[in-house]
Amino acid sequence: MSVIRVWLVLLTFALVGAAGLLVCLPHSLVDEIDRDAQTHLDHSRRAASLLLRLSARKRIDTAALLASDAVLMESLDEATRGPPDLQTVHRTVQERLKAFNEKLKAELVLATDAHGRVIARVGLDSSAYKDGIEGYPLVADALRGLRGDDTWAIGGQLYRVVASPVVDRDHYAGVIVVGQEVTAELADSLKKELGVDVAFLLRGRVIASTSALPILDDLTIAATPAHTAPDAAPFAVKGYSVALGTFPGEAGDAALFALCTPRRDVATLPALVGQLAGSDPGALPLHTLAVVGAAGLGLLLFGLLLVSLFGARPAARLARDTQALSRGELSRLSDPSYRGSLRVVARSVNSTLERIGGRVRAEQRASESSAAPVQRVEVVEPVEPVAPVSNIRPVAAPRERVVEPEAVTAPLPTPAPVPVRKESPTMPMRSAMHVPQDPMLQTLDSLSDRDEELASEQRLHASMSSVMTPLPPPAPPLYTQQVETGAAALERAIAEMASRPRGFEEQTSVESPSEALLIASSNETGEEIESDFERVYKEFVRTRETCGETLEGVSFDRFVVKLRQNRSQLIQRYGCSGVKFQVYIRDGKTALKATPIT
Amino acid sequence: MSRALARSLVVTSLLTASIATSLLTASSARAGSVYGQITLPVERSEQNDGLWRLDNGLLPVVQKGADARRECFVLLLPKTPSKQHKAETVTAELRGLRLMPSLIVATTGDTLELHNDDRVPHSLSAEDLLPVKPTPASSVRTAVLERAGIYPLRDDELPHVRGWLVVTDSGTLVRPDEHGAWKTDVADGTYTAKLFYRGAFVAEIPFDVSGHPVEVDLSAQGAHP
Repeated sequence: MSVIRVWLVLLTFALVGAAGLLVCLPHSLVDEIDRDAQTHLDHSRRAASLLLRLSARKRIDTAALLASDAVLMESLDEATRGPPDLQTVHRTVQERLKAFNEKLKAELVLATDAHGRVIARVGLDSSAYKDGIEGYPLVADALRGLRGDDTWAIGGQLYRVVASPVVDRDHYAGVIVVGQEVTAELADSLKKELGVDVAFLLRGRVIASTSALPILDDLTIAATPAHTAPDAAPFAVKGYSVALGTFPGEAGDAALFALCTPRRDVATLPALVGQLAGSDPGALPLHTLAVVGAAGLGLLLFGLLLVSLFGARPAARLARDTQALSRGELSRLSDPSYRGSLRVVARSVNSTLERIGGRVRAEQRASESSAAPVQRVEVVEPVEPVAPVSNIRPVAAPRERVVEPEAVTAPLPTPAPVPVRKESPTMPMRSAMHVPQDPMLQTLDSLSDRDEELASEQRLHASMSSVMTPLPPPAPPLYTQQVETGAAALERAIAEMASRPRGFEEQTSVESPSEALLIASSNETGEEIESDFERVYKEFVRTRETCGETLEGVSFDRFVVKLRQNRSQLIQRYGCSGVKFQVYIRDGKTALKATPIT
Repeated sequence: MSRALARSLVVTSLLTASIATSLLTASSARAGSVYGQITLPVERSEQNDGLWRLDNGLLPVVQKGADARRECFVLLLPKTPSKQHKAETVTAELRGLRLMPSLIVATTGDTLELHNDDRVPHSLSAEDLLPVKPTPASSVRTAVLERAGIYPLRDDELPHVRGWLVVTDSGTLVRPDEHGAWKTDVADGTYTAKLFYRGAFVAEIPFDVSGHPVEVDLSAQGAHP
């Protein structure tokens, strides 16, 4: 079951991880795509600036070509000198400019004299002249002999202008200015080169764009200084990534170009569902999805139910039964009630129990044959944990064996089942115990029905509770310690032997005394006791030497005193006729155990 | 004879006394001339970010030199402020798409008149002094200058039209000629000459005037306002 649980936990983690990946991974992809789009826009912004600069360079050459016209040179030089009839010069220059502009198709063409005074215009304000425009930096520089370009905002429109000085022999006679309005045509040409939508803004107003972009109104709001800085990062506006750039020159602070590209929607599950529901609400098979989802949920619940019925619950029941078996509430497992591998397990447990029982019986027979001279024969129980009387169930027949006085011993590696008598098949199994008096045995034998058996068991438990001392399975060694001196070890071993805890419910082991011990224990005299103490002492010393333990503080007198005290305590406590001490080695340490002899 | 002599002596005494009184009076109100030379920093190379500026290839380009008349002025501040200034009218013109002069100097209480002689409107403004207000072509905008300070002037319609408006509480304003030389006459006393260059006072020198010409040379070298 633990494996199944671990597997379920792992499966849950895997599913949660997969769901997390499904949710999170697309977002990282979206971010990556956005970064790519922003990088592309940033490059496009630089490319747009270069394209505008290249275009200006070409128009400068055009203006220079126009400025080299001889008629314009002569007329502008005459205008600079202050002719009496400036209007004639104006007409001449204007006609010439018109002729050129038929090919140029420029929205603004003008010519000034050497003082920056406009002599003629073509296109914008074609009727105006004689006004000075030398204040324009472009014109001022052209009057000094420089060709150049600039951006002018005139009447709410944006013009990209170029200027070239008019050189008449050895002096500057004037300036030719050619301007091109920033219109949707320029935006389209930029889009053709850059592959992104383009919009132009002047003083917070969109003056031209490639198409009817849905974000034009938002562009004017977003055109903040933070976004118009040369190194400002592109930003998002209603599904578009936008990069703003400024026109160089006179109108640069107020004239902007915006490069816009729609943001790509990545196929995240919410995005797909939202897109599908938005585009075609009927296309989403909600009913089918509901049925499939319900069916899947039902299958999942059914699977969980099967796992519970055939996996979790039988296993839990087997666990409970085995625990009851260990407590003595059950004599064997009901293997037919299990299925599959659990049934095999139950059968194996039962087989093991039966095999152990057979071995116990064999030992019982051997004990019976060897203990024939011994007169005291008592009924004992096989190894079973002490349990409340009400829970005792008949699982095995009582058995007869040699008297098995209560063994006050150190913990045994495995509980040793005690042979029981076959002659009482209806005797319920009890905890390992000793019935020191024959009347009790007679009482037990006289009871025939189950109630009486239970009553006798209860009485038996009550009477034997003072005799039995079950051993806890994981209890530490009682008579041994890792580090201790010989005297301390002796005192502690004897003290613990005398004050051994009682009332353990898990296991009760009974140490079978040897035959010689039983014979020797009968009719002990004082000399025999002293002799036995001396024997035990010698054996104790020898064993400690064998184990490499120190004998410091160990003396025969103190040893005998302790043995006497312990012997008298046990006799007083259990009413036994004698106590036999035995020395043995446990976990490499010398240990001492006392066995009451009844 | 003696009476005539006595009369002549009296007249002589009176004449002497009057002459001495007039001399004493003249010495207390006498003025001295102050003159000097302004040194402007070398003009840095022209900055035309993102714009083409190409030689024409036929004639040499006329270099654009610094014009001290448009860039700076000298303010002579007396240690003891003079009497109340008489309000005057300061005139500036917008012509040829330029502000002339681009450096307007006035005293608190003066009236500024902006004449727009261009064929296009201008919207000259100075923060905290002149709000943004269009000045149509061939019209005049007036404003009383009530607060002293240095105000940058900007034209919202034509960004290249820029200038400075300096309003002072007291002192004598002197504009240099195209070579940076300046000269004026002031009453005897202790003064501080301050040079204004491109939006800030970049140098000042204290001096005393005591009837003799005083030369005060001011330099804007190292100033990067």
